[in-house]
This record gives sequence, C-alpha cells and structure tokens, in this order.
Amino acid sequence: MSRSVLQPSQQKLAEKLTILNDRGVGMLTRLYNIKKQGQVWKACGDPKAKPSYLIDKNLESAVKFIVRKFPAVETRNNNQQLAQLQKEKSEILKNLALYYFTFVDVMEFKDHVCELLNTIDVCQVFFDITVNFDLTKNYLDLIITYTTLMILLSRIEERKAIIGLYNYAHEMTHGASDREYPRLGQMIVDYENPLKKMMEEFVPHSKSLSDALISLQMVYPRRNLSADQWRNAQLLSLISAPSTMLNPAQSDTMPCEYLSLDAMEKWIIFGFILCHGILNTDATALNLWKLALQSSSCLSLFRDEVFHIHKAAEDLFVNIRGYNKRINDIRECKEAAVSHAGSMHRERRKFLRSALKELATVLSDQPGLLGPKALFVFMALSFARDEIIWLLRHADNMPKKSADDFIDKHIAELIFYMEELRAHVRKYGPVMQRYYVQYLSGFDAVVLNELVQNLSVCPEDESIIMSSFVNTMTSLSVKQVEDGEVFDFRGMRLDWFRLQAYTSVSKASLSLSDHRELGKMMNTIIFHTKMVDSLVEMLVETSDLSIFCFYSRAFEKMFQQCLELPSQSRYSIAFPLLCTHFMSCTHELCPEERHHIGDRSLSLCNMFLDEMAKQARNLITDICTEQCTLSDQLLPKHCAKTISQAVNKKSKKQTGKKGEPEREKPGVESMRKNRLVVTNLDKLHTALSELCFSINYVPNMVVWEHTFTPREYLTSHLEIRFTKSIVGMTMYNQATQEIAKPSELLTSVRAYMTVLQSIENYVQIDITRVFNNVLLQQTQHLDSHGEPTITSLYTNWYLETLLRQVSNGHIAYFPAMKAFVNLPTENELTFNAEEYSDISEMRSLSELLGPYGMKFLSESLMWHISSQVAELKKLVVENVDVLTQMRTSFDKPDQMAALFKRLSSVDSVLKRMTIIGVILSFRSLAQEALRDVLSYHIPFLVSSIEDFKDHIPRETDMKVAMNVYELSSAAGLPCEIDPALVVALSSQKSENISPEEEYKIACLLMVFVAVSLPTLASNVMSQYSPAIEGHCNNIHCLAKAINQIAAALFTIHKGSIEDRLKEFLALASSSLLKIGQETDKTTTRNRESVYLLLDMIVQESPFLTMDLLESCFPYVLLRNAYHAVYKQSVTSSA
Amino acid sequence: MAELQQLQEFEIPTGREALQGNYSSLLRVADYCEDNYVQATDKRKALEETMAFTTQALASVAYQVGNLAGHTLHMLDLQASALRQVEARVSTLGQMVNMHMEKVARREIGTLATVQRLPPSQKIIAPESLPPLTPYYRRPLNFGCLDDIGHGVKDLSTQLSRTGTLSRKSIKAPATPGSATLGRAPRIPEPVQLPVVPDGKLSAASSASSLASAGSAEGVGGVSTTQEQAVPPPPPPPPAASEGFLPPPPLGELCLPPTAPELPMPLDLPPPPPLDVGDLGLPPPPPPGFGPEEPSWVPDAYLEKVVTLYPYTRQKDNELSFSEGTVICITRRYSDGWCEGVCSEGSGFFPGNYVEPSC
Repeated sequence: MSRSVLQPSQQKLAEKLTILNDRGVGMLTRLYNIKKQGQVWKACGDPKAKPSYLIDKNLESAVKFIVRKFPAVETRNNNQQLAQLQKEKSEILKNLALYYFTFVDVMEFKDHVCELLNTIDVCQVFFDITVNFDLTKNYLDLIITYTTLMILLSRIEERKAIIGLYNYAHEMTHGASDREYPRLGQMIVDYENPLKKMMEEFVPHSKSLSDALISLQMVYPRRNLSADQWRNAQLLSLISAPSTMLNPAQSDTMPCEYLSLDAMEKWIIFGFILCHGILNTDATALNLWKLALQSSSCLSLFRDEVFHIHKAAEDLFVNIRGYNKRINDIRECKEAAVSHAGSMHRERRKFLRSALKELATVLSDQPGLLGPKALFVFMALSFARDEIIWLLRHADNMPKKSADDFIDKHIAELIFYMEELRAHVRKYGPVMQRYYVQYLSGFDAVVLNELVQNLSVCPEDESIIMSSFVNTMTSLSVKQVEDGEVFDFRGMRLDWFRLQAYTSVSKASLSLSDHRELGKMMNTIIFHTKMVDSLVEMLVETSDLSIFCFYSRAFEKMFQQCLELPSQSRYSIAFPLLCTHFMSCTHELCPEERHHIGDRSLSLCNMFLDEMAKQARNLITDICTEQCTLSDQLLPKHCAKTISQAVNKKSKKQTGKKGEPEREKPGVESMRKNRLVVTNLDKLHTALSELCFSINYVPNMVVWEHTFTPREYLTSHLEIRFTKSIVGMTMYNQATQEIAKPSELLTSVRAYMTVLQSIENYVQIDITRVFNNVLLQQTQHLDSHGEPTITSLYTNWYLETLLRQVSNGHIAYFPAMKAFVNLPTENELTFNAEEYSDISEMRSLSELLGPYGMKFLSESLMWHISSQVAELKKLVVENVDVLTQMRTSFDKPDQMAALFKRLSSVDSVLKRMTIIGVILSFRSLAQEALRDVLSYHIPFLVSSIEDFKDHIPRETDMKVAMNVYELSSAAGLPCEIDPALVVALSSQKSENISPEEEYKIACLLMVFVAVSLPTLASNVMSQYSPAIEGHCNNIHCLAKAINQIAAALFTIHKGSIEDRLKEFLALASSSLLKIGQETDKTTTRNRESVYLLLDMIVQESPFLTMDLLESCFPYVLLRNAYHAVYKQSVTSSA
Repeated sequence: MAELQQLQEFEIPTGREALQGNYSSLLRVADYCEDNYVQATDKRKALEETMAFTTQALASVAYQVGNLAGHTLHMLDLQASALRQVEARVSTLGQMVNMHMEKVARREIGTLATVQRLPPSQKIIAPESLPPLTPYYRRPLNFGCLDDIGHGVKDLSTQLSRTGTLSRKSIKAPATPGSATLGRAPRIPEPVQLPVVPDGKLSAASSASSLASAGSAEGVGGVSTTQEQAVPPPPPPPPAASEGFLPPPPLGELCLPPTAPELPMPLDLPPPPPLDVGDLGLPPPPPPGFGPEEPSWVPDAYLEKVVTLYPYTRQKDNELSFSEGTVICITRRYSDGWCEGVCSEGSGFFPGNYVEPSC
C-alpha cells in the first residue's frame, strides 16, 4: 500500500463527512420511525403505520420461532409453525421490504463510517475544534451519529422479528436467503449491547477521537458557566459598554460560540465512553468528562429518545478491571447532577430571559446593531435553545423529588423572545447582508490576502483555493445587496472544509496546526459569509425547537400554564409560533413522517390559537357582563326609587333622619381616588390587553404551508359569543312566557357593542364585520347555526303572548296612547302590556330587529290574519243564500230584518274581524316605529322611498304599484293596500272554487260584516271611551280590519275597492239607521258608540269620503253620538 | 301639456266669450221680448213666447256654464298633477343637495381619521395543494454529489475509480464471492453449510453440479454486494486496474467481525484474480426460462438477466441509459461494480448496483 493512495485530496474527507452526516441523520429518522411507529403514529390514527404482522395472532408462533433461532434460518423443520408464513409470504415480502432495507441501509452506513474512520486514522488527521472547526465538528458528529444509530437500533424490539420474517419470506419465495441477510443478522447480534461492542471497535480510533475531544477543553467549560458568571461578564448585553456598542462582536472561535451545548455534551460523554482509556491518563479529559456528567442526567439520542448517561457509563465501566476510580467519579457526578443541575439551569433560564428581552428590545429600536452584534443574537438563540431543550428532556425524565426545578412557568417568555429575535433577523436580513458584504470585501479579503502572501509554503491546490477565497470576497459590493441578488457561498465554505482536510493530514506540506491564525481567520470569514447567504439556515441551526413536536404533552402543559398565569399570557403566541418549526425536523430520507408531523403541527397550532381566542373571549364576556350591569343601573325604571326617596324625604322632613341609607348613584364606580385600588374590571382589562398583545403579535403565520390568522380566531369566537349573548339577554322563558323588554335588551346590546368596539384598541380586528354578521343574522328567523334569533323569539312572544291576551279580552288597544294596555281583570297578567307595546318599546324592537326582522314579524302577523279570513270565508259560505238576498234588498227594511234572523254565527264574524283589527293595529304600531327608526338611520333612503310612493301616477299598473307598496311597507310607510296582507291572503286561494265564486264570497263577507254591525250595540262592552279614543272591547279596530281586508281582497280578485266599500257603507248605514228606530233599551244600549264606528271607518279609509257617508248617514247623527258618548263618560267618571 | 294649453288658450276663453256673447244676445232677446210684449196685442201669446225664449236661454246658459266649469276643473286637475311633478322634482333636488352635504361632511370628518385596512380573511388558509407525498425509495450513497460545489476534485477518472477500488478492497473484501460464503459460515453455525463453501469458492456461477439455489445466491450475492456499496457513476475501468490495489492490511482486519475469532483463517484470503476473470469468461448455464420466445436483442451468451431498480442516464457514450424495470442481460461484470450488458436499446456499461437479478 503506497502512501500515494492516501493523498488527502483524493480521500474527499470533507465531502464524505458532510454526506455521511446527512445520511446518518436520515437513517436515524428512519430507525426512529420504525421504533416509534407502534407508539406515536398509532395515536395519529394511521392503522397502516405499524406492520401488522408483528401482532398478527396467526403468525405469533412463527415470529417467536424466528426470533428464537435468529439469525439462523431453518426452513425445513417446524413446518407447522411456518405454514401460516408460507401463505402470507408475498404480502410480508412486499410490506416489510422497506423496513428490512432500512436495516440494510444502516449496515451500509456503518460500513462507510468504519471505512472513513479508518482512512482518517491512516491519514493521522489533526483535530482541533478551535482551528479546523468544520473538520473536527463533522468528525465528532459522525461518531455520535454512528453511536446513536447503533444504540437506537438495539432499542428496536421488533428488529429481529422484522428482519427474520422478511428473510424467511424471501427464502420461501426465492429459495434462498436475501444476499444481505447473513451480514445483517450478524450485525444485529453483534450490537445487542451497542456501546460495549463499539468500545472494542473504537480502540484503534482512540487517538484521533481523544485529540478531537480534548480540543474542547477551552470551548466547553466556557460555554458551561453558571448564570452568576454570565451575569458578571454581562454576557449578551449591548448596553453594558456603550462605547463599544458599534464594534463588531468578535471571537477567535466564532463558530464555537453558538455551538450547541447539547451536541458538545454528547461528544464528550459518548466520545470518552468510546475511548475511555484517555480518562486514566489525561487530566484534561477527565475534567471535561466530569463537567459534562455533572450538568445533565440524560442526553437526547434522537428527538425524544433519551439516554441516561450515569447508569449506562457505570454499567460499561464496571466490567473493566481497575476502573473503580472512574465508577466513583460517575457516582459523584450523578449526585451533583441530581442536586445541582436543576437549579443551575433554572438560574440560567432566568438570566437568559432578561438578557434576551434586553437584546430584543434594543435591536427592535436599533436594528442596525444587528450587523455588528449578529454573533450575540445567534449566541443568545443557541443558549436559550439549549436550556429549553435541556428542561424539556429532564422534565420528562426526572425523579419527582426536585420537580420545582423542572417546571418553568416563565418558559413562554423565553421562547417568545427567541421568536422575537428570529423575527428581527428575518425582517432585517438585508441590513445584516449589507453590513457583512462590506465586511467581507473591505476587511476580510484584505487580511486573508496578506495572510496568504506571508505563507512560507503553499502547495498549488491550496493556493488555488485560497486565492479564489480572496477573489470571491473582493468582488462583492453593496450594490448586489441593493439589487436583491442571491448570494451563494456554499462553494466557498465547502472549499474551506476541503482545505481543512488537506492541511490537517499528517504529511501535509502546509499544515494547519502550524498556521492556527489562518484557521481562526477563515472560521471568522465563514461566519461572515453565513450572515450574507444563509441567515435562515443559521436560525434553524441555532434556534430550532422542533423537538417540541415529540414532547407534545409537555408542550400542551406549558401552554396551559402560560395561559393561567396572567403575566405570561402576553407571551402565549410563542406556542403557535413554535409549530412553524416542526417541519424543519423532517429529513428527505424519511418522507413518510412528513404528513404526520405536518398534521400535528397544524392541529397543535389550531388548538393553541383556539384556546387563546377562547380565553380572550371569556375575558371580554366578563367585561361585557359587568358593563351591562352598570348600564342597567341607568335604566329609567331605577330612578323610581330615587324619586320616591326624594318625595318621602320632603313629606317626612320632621320624622327624623334615620330613614333609608342614601342609595349609591350609578356612575359612582368611575370616581377613583387611589390607583392602587384594583377593581375586578381593571384586572379583566389588564388580562385582556396582555392576551391581546399575543393575538395581535403577528398578522398571520405559516405552518406547513397553511396560513393561520390568529385574529380571525378571536373574531369568530366573538361572533359566536355575541350571538349567544344577544339571544341570552332576551331572557326568554318558554314556560312562563317571560321576555326582556326590547328597550332593556337594546341597552344591554349597546353596552355590549361598546365594549366590543373598544377591543379594536387592543387587537386589530374588524369589529364592524362582527356586528354586521351577528346583528344581521339576528334579523332573520334562524341564525347560521340554525338557532332561534331574537327576531323569532320576539315574534313568537308578541303573537303568542301579547296578542293572544288581547283576543282573550284582557288587553285593549288604546289609540290615544298608541299602546296596548292591560284591562282590569280578576286574573292579573304576568306582564304589563303597555311596557312592551308603547312607542319607545316598539322603536327599540324595530331597532333590534331591523327592517328584515320587522318584515318577518309582519309576515307572521299576516299569517294569523289569513287563517282568520279563511274561517270567515267558511262562515260566509254557510250563509251564502241569505247574504245574497240581503245584498240586493237593503232598501227593504222588513225583508232585511227577517233575513237577518236567518243568519248564523254573527258574533263569531265580528269577533274574528275584531281580532284581525287588533293584529292590524299592532302591525301599524310596528310599522310606525320602524319608520321612525329608519328615518333616523337612513334618512335619504327613506325620503326617496316616500317620494317614490307619493308620486305613483294614477294610471300605474296594479302590479307595479304593489311593488312600490312592498318597498314602502318594508321601510315602515303605511300603504293604501297592505302588500303583506295581499300576499298572505292570495296564498290561501283554494283550487276548487272558481275566481268568480271567490269574488262573490269576498263581496258577501263585506255584506256579512255590514249587516252584523248593529248587534254590537247590545254589547255592554261596546262603550266608546273618549279617554282612550276607542272601545274597551277593541271594536274600534274593526275600522282598520274592514278597510284593509277589503283593500286586500279586492286587489286579489281584481274588483273595485271603492265600489265595494261604498256598498259596505250603504249596507252598514242602513242597518245602523235601523237601530235608531229601535226602542228596546238593551239592544240599543251602546247605539251611539257603534255609530261612531262608521265615522272611524271613513276616517281610516283612503277610498271613502265624508261626502259619501253624508249621502247615506246624516252627519247630525254622528255629531249627536259624539256628544252623547262624551257626556256619558263625564257622568260615569264623575 | 298640449291639452292644458289647448284648454287655457282656446277652450276656456272661447267658452267665456261664448258666454259673454250669449249675454249680449240674451239682452237683445230680452229687449225684443219686452218690446214684443208691449206692442203685442195678444198678450198671452207674447208671454208664452217670452217664456219659451227664457227657457231656451237658461238651458243654453246652463249648458255653457257647465261646459266652462268642466273645462276649468279639468284644467285645475292638469295643473295639480303638473304641480305634483314639480314638487317631486323639487324634493329630489332637495335630497340631492342633502346627500351632497352629507358626503362633504363625511369627507371632512374622514380627513381627521385614519383608514383602517383589514383584509378580509379566514382562520386557516390551506394551500392549493400540498406537495405530494413522494414515496420513499432507497438511494445509493453518492460521494460525488458535492464535487460540483466549490473546488471539488474534478479528476474523476482516477479519483473515483480509486475510491471505488478502495472501498471494495477495504470493506468489501469479505463480500467477494469467497468471503461472502465465508462471512455466512461463521455467523450462522450450520454444519450443513460448510461443505458448500469450497464448491462456491471454486466456481460460483458455473458449477452446475452444486445446488442451484446456493450457487446463484452466492454468486450473485457476492458480486452485487460489491455493486451496492460502490460509488455509482464511475466510468468502467479495465478490470485489471483493480489488481494494483491490494487492501491495506489494517483496514481489512478491521472489517472482520471481531467476535468471530474462530473464523477459519485460510478462507479469508482474497480469491485469486484469475478465478474472477475466468469465472466471468465462462458461458453461463442456460437459465430455465430460456427458450425461443426470448427477444431478438438477447445475446447468445450472457451471465445473468437483471432488472433495473432505478433509472439511470448515461454519462458517457459507451454507457447504457435505462428507466426503472428494464431487463438487461449482463455479459460481463467488473470488479469495481460496473457491468457490461445488453438491453433492447443496445449494449454498454452500467453501474451494477442499479439492478437486481430477475427471477
């Protein structure tokens, strides 16, 4: 074997280390998934994840047999056990191939690593982390990856079953074992106890390995300092030395400054286990070993796979003769780790919290400092990352006794400031690029050039590479940054790595160990290039917390703790932000887990954002409730007490001063004398503003290509809650038929809306959109979730409760008061009708329900009317013959009297007409209120509609006119013909009656009503009361009913409304005139009151005039009637 | 409008004039009547005549008054409706003015406020399509993939063949046919297997007498293990080149499983190269499936029929390109992992670890 074979440049050490390290991580990922598939992905509901053969009952005995005989293959005997296997061999071959070949790939990887380690030994490579950083780091990493891989392999319980099953299936199919099987089987057996085997294996490598490890003697202790030492050194502080603030943060060992502490501990622990001999001979090594053992009790192998270092090391050393001293060391260190490590790390986290906060604050104020102080940022990120990962690992694997050190309630703050720093680096990337491009071209290139010029020897290859460095750097200019050019220094970095390899072998003509300056300079330059072209990669390298993906329970617990602690809720956004890291832990060699990890990141992020929004929503709801109570105190009803008190005081001035204590006036809570007094509302506002800071922190975040908008979560929660609250505040009780007054509900809703509006001060959300969505939905019958709205509740209540009581005669409509008023009865009603139907209530109702809601209310009212009309029509049909005769013989009084006696259900007709009248009166109240409200809200639109309606040309087609009426009645304007009534009545047209017949029935209905009117006179209740401008039994509502019904019916049947009403007037007046001649006191008891109805009908009607009335009913009679009823009321009241 | 004008300018004035004309003519009639009565002898007849005149006059005047009144009323009606139209227009104008004022007022207020831009969005916006889940397939290690970045070692022909050789000699030494058998023997202590060893060693593929399965497994296994671990795209060097590089003793030793000290040492010797060459030169035993239905491109003599596992694009003119699943007849194997073969596309070199034996 000639030396020439080992030409360093032909070994491609740099390339191989890079490629194998990447491959190793890929293999780790694959093995991890094989190991975890049973536990982890099952939870994700993927049944295909685990090879089912290992749990298949039929194969159980075969699997047992295979594992027992492993790695031997015996197909000839034991046929009964393998019979089942025979059947499924092709399936097994297909499904286990990937698993099997992963193991084969691991073996292949191992072969390559062993080869490379041998090559490195043969080349006698010089390792010093402070000089040839990349070479040393990659060398150590490779060893650790290799070790980890073998340990992980030995932890896969099913490995023998998988490999064995596959091989048996292969043997059965192809008649021979798989060609890799013998070696693979042997490897599995050899590495039953991986570390023991590897300790033997590493004997030849121990020189290189221990050299590399000992080079950590400066770096590791410097990184592993206590918080107090950090504090004294004012680590990471930008403002401690203002004079040096603009100087670039420098170090001789730049890449070591942000090297992961975790990785170093792994190197030290595993490294010294593998070359344990050095511990006995070298004190430096022993110190490093002890220091590492003291600071942790477990190391992470891969993701959440941990390795308990003390126990493992003890088990390995206990069998070696003369290692009592080492074992004692381990035990001491274990004690120290258990008792001190927790508190030491706690203090460090505490320090880092404030340090990162300071850093983030200063940098957000002066982003330009990111240039010179970039190293600080990455150091801070790396330190914080190490501490968080340490905590996560130990919290999960620690004895309970010192639990306090392992629960960090302020962890959210630390993560948050890490995220803040990351955001700064991302945002101000160009600033940093600009700084370092100038640095590279203006300083580094010059210094390096000088250094290269002064080299005594420089072989050709090396000098080519180094002059290319200088050239690359000198060619840089700020213009490139301004033009947004994409930089790529990967080649340069790889070249430096190669150069390290070429100059670190023993026989190199230019030896790096003799030119440490060059190494340090180049390491610094490499850091500078990274600041230009790979900031994102640097962020991943120093602050990737994707490990949380595998500690999801701890992760969720931390989040809950954070929300519970009000001072930390400000930082809760850190948790969803962490979910954006998750995808960076995937490796291209294991595409299978991508979707699982992606799904997990999505579901966690969604859950966190949802919880935050819920919390904020709950706070807002509490504030709203308090505000509602406060605004409730301002309701007019509450002033009654104050008034009564004042009255009492005046009247009983002399009775003494004890009386009742003065009531607190509303608004007292705003008088604050001391800001130390914190009210409940203050606390809620503080908590809300803290939480909203979090929700408002980012406009959106991208998790696995899904864009999350935190504010939208709040918006949607607010929408749902606002809807629920509005409906809840109606306090509708189905059983007792109680409901809140519309005006009170309106006050509460307004208080609610004021609070919600104020949220815009905390979070940038479109609260108007929330209002529009929610309030608009409330004007519909059902909301978007199919729940009843206030529209349906109030419609229901007014129809089923108020109007029902009206038709029962307990409530009357008082036109003078424009309200329904309770009548004195023996059964007191549970509510006061006036308080629900006066103008202010109706206006509040229209305000709440809006035009759509009021339209729905009208339609429901009309539906009731149409059912009454249907009943009325039936009554007409019963009496159709008599009525036809009466219609023609109204001028023959005798005949009329005789015919009248033949009529049936006269009272029923009047009663139903009265009910219709009452409903129409209520509707006109509602319409009037709606008009008032709308002319306030939409004055221009309403006046346009008014214009439109007022100027319908006379000759307009009925259909067009109806459209205009539809429009105007939607705006609350009264119309000659009520379109809603027309629609309701025309929908009940029956099929089996011809239109002519229908028309006739409608005419006869009017006749029926007209001839029935006189019977009202005999009713005691029909007395007209001037005070209420109506009759107590609501018969004054007949006027409205007759006019509207006639208008609607004859619009539908295309008759002349005017003619029919004239006919009605003629019939009614002649029948009424008849009772003028009656002498019977009882039948004419309220004759005058009933006379007034005629006047009302004409007043009400847009089609009839007083002239017409005069022609058939003398005005004198009306005048006398008015005179009489007023006189009567005066006497009765007197 | 025309109607109104007609009424105003023609009908009503003419009506009035007619009325006035009537008035004067009636006066004349009255005078006549008076004279007539005074002069008349037959007073009764004169009176009757007068009465007739009076009636007629009254009727005509009444008619004319009625006509005029009707016209006037109609005129008033028309004017009323015209007035209503004017009123409507005025109120529209009024509204326009009001609206404009409102707009101006709002604009003035707006200048005092800032615009709040809130893009309408939803809680989660899912991407149009997620990157498809690429199924995992094994990729051989390629140490050449970084050579293009920076100043990699470009001297491929020497470098890679050396690497290939080195890897074969150092690690794959036990994987050559002889040692594969050997590797198997100590690990799986099967007494039955031992006698097979010399057979396989003597002639792996050609020994038709040995068990077909064992023979082929060893032959194929040994060679393709080499392929598996060799670097893929080196150009095929002459087989003789490998002879120059003997494995360095320490490396070879390392690769032996240390747990197998009972390993029969003599068998560890690398197989003599001539055997390798001779082996390759021997015509293969006719495969069982060999028949007249073979495609025309299949050569008369080949070592083995293989199916490609991965696609490969040739990097030199004398290489083969193929997609996944192509059938190739191997005519020659080289010790560095490259093979020479014939497929439907032609013949050429290809990396041996891209194929597996077709069964």
